[in-house]
Amino acid sequence: MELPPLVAMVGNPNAGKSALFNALTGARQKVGNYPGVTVERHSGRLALEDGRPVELVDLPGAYSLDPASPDERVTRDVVTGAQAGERLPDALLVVIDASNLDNHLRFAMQLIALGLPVVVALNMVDLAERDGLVLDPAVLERELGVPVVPTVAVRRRGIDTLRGQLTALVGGAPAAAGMRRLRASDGSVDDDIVTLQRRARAIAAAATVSETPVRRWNHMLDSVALHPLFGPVLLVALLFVMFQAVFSWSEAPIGWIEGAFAAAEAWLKGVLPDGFLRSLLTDGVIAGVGAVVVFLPQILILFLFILVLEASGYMVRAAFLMDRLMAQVGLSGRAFIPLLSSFACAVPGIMATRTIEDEKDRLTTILIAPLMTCSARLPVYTIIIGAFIPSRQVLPFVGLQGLVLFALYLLGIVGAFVAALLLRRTVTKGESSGFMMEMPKYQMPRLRDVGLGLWSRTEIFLKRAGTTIALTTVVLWALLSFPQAPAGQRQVDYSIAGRVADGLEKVVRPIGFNHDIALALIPAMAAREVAVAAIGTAYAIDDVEDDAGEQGLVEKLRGRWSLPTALAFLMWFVFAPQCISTIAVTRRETNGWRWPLFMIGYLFAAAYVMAGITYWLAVAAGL
Amino acid sequence: MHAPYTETVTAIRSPRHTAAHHAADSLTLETLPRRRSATVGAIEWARLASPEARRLRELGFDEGVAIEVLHRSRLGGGPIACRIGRMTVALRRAVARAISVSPDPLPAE
Repeated sequence: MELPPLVAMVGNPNAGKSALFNALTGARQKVGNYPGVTVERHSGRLALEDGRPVELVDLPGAYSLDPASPDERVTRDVVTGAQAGERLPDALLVVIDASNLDNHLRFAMQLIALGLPVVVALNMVDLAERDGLVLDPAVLERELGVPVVPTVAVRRRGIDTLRGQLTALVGGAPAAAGMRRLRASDGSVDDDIVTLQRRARAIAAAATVSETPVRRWNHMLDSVALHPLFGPVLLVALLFVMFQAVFSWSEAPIGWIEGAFAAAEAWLKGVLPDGFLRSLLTDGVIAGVGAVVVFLPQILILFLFILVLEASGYMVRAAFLMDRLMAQVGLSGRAFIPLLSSFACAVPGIMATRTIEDEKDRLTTILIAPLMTCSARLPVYTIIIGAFIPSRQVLPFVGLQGLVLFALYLLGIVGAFVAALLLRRTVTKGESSGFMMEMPKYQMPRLRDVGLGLWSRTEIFLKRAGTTIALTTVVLWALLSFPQAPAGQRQVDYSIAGRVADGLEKVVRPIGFNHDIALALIPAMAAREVAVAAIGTAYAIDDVEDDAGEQGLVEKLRGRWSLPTALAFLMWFVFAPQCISTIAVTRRETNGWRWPLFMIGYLFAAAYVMAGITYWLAVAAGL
Repeated sequence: MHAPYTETVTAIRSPRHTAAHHAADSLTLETLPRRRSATVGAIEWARLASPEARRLRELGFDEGVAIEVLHRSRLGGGPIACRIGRMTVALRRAVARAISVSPDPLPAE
């Protein structure tokens, strides 16, 4: 079985690589992982002009062959043939932004010097022309000594020519001689950035036919987005609209999902005889998975905003505006993007910290990411607030319930900042990290790219709901249902889970938690949202004659919990690191158990102390 | 016989260089007025942490490159956005302080 030739796409960040990759490979793409590192490997098939297939791999954007992040290291290792699990590419497709030749040419020259067959895509030539820049690709070809193809990836311009050039390149004998010359024993590539940069500028100047200064609309947008006064106002307004949308747009789809699960439950109750199987499927699987899938709309809306903000280039501006604030707690503006993603889910948030170059800075961001109120907390917050906080207007347009929810979000943020401040002075102590970022041009986000991004989130979420969460709820159902309680005893207390909770209850009693909460905390270790499902399941099994609808659960909660207990429970979930996926991704991203264990420890300690304080203050206040 | 000739050339050129350096000492990217096009003079690499210095080089910061401050937060302390070549780059003031600039009324070389 012979593998098809491998072509690696390389270039600076913001060179339009992904769009070109999409244009070349279409829908035939695969996302995997490089072994040992959590860097995604995007690959796709491309048919050459003569029909031969080629595997095209899109490498992470880099500024040079001297890596500053795990992503850049993968890029360097792949093009030098040092990456485990990847063969040396047969050719490189170097992508450069036509309107940023000065900078991108320098990296292109470093790549050409490796000695592999190279074709250069002079990408986004349309944008360069709009900026008043006319280039001569022939000059570039002559100076670089490799074919240069002008392309506009988003309009598929130059794609066929590019394929033709690749056909000519791939198939000849591999020209790896130059590569060995440049590669030092440690795998790093020798070069002098400044010398190359100067040469790149000279080539760029030679290739520029004419340059008319145009008042760029980018600058006009930036003069609002980065304005000392309007900039922050715009950012706050955008965040407000985003969170508003998460709640208001999701109402209808949540209703549909609830309806679908209720219909499934009713159908099962109709076709199955009463018994363990029916109880397992309705009380266990449908109740548990349904309680989680209901949050898909909110997660998708949040991700839609994040993806659009990211694709448009605004996110870097937000990082710029936030840098000063983040610097106060020893972080940089770069941490803003992963932390914002963590409002949807800490898992992609923690993965997004890879762009933070400073190790200590990145570690701190990972450790505080779980404090951002992720969407999995919403089911817990919503149901407890619905049950215990009166629906009352405190100010025009401001309800008490909404205010409490807002306070919980704010508390997470404040908690994260305090944690960062403390961590930066103790365990992640070090020089305050810098903030240096290229600010890409604004771009219209492409529907297709945003769609693909949303689809992959949906897939991950549904997979999780269908596996981890379904399994946990079934196990919990079994632990709650066996052994069967004799008459006169509560099933919940008599069951295996009930007995385990007896032990835990002794620990959480001082912070106002009752036996049912102790019981719910165990399965909630898998995922926070399971806590609601767990309490629901427990009360459903407990009161067999009752209907276990949401309304029913709210009523049951009111009857069994005091207000201080409910408030302490809310506070607990602001801090508690109850999410297997977050812990797993932290272990992967920090290469070991040390930091995830530290994270679990400090967050549980904070949860315990804060819930305790809340409980006793509430009791003292006579609530 | 050739050596003195070379020295003369150096002697003629050096006053201009010294002048440029003097101007550069007084004005850095941190203090350069907004929207005033300028040229990067000396960069005090020694004042920068090594990853920062490397990233700065990779972003194209070098003596003789055209530069302009686009945005600066009013309260002070926040980062600076500047145009370097055809890129917009955000950096912190501590880094900007290490970059000498000379404003452009002098025509570029």
